[in-house]
Amino acid sequence: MSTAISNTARSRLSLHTLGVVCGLAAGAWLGGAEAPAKLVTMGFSPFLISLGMVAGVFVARWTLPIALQGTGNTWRDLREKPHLIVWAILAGMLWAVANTLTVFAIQNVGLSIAFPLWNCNSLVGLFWGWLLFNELRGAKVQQWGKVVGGAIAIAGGACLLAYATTTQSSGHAGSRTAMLGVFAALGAGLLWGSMYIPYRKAYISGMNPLSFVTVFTFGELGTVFTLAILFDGGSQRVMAQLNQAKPALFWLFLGGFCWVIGDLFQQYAVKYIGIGRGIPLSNTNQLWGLAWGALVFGELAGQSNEARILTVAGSLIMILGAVAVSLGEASALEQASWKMAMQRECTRYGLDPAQIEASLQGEDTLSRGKSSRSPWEILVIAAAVGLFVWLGLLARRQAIAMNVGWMGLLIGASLVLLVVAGLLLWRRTRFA
Amino acid sequence: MLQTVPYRSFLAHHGVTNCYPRKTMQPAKPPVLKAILTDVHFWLPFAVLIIGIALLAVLR
Repeated sequence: MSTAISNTARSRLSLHTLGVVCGLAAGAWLGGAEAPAKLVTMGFSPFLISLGMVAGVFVARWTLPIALQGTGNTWRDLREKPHLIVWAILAGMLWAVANTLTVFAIQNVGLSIAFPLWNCNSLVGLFWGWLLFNELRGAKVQQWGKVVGGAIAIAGGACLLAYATTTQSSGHAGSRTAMLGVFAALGAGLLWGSMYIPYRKAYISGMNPLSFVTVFTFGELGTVFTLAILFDGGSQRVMAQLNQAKPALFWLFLGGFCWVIGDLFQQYAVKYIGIGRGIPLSNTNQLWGLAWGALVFGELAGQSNEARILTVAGSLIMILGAVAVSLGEASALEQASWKMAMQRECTRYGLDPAQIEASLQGEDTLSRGKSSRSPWEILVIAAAVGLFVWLGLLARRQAIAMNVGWMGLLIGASLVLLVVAGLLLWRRTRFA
Repeated sequence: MLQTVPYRSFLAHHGVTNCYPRKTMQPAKPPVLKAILTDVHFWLPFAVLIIGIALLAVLR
């Protein structure tokens, strides 16, 4: 009864619109996550930078998300769907290995070649969504055109941006090294595209994104730490480097904090509009990364006219692609296909179809009227926030020129998207 | 003479067919590990992960 009453107070916003807004907000925050990492001056190993950022992600999980939904709901969710613990850890591992591959790819062939190759992840995700989760099944040609065409436009626009904004060339690498770099970039795209299988698996099983992210961060941190130990000279060296990097850790943690917010929005997008539509939208993070690089850090200063034209063209193509995907709402026939995929999960893992159906419609099936926080949850939040504050006190201002006006504008725009998407999510789903 | 009617039959007579009065009567969940290991969806990303780790080993 209480659920029925609370539902009447909720907005009637379509889940497609909600998913699109979440996808765009994810783009802003995932793109913004690159900015604090930029503040870390050279001298640290790529593995250490990756480890610092993922540690930030892990700690940030216990700040804002725990304030949105108490751990009681998370444990309940995990108890009801224990199989998804394995899936979430697998997703975290896929992310970590893909991220490390990109480090090698950039080293071997440069960003301009590597980025377009791993940016194929949205097309890989689109394929898995169609093959495994019945996405676009029963869709009309128009829908296919909007979703697939939009995804290709976003990937193509990103390629143009990467080409226009980087000056690195593959000429410095030998042919074998270059070939390995290409394989590394393609491998990263394949891994990141396949990471969306566990994402979608979780959401057609009715899991709450906040629960999924919790376990995901364990898989991510464990794998990045293991990789750093294996490839960066053992645990003692890694710990010594971490200690040495303390003045810069705050910026990496800040990047991790932005990444968690972006990833949460990405997860909500996947939950409500699927992989095929959600991932291309969140891949607009490249536009935000470009805005931060060009406007705040002045990375495009002294660029040729040709490069400027390519940058504008790439940005416009990405925006058009995002608009096309946004307009490709799933038809009733396609949604019936999604339900068949959901039914299959219910049969395999012994889930309650009515409950999962309600969760996919944005109903909160976990809280059951309980929203209290235990004292130890408040302690965990205080410890996580305290760690951020402590690192902030140790942080040193990095010697990088910045345009404060543009930075304020981009932070403001990201915060507006956070508030708008957060409010829409709260009013429509109560963060379910 | 009074005739006793089993509880489930009584509910079924009134159209209630999906009622489990005791928790022990609910259908058992399939074993988690078995369900995962026999799910082809699991092996696809797992195989991709192995490819990624193998690539890292070569790149190292």
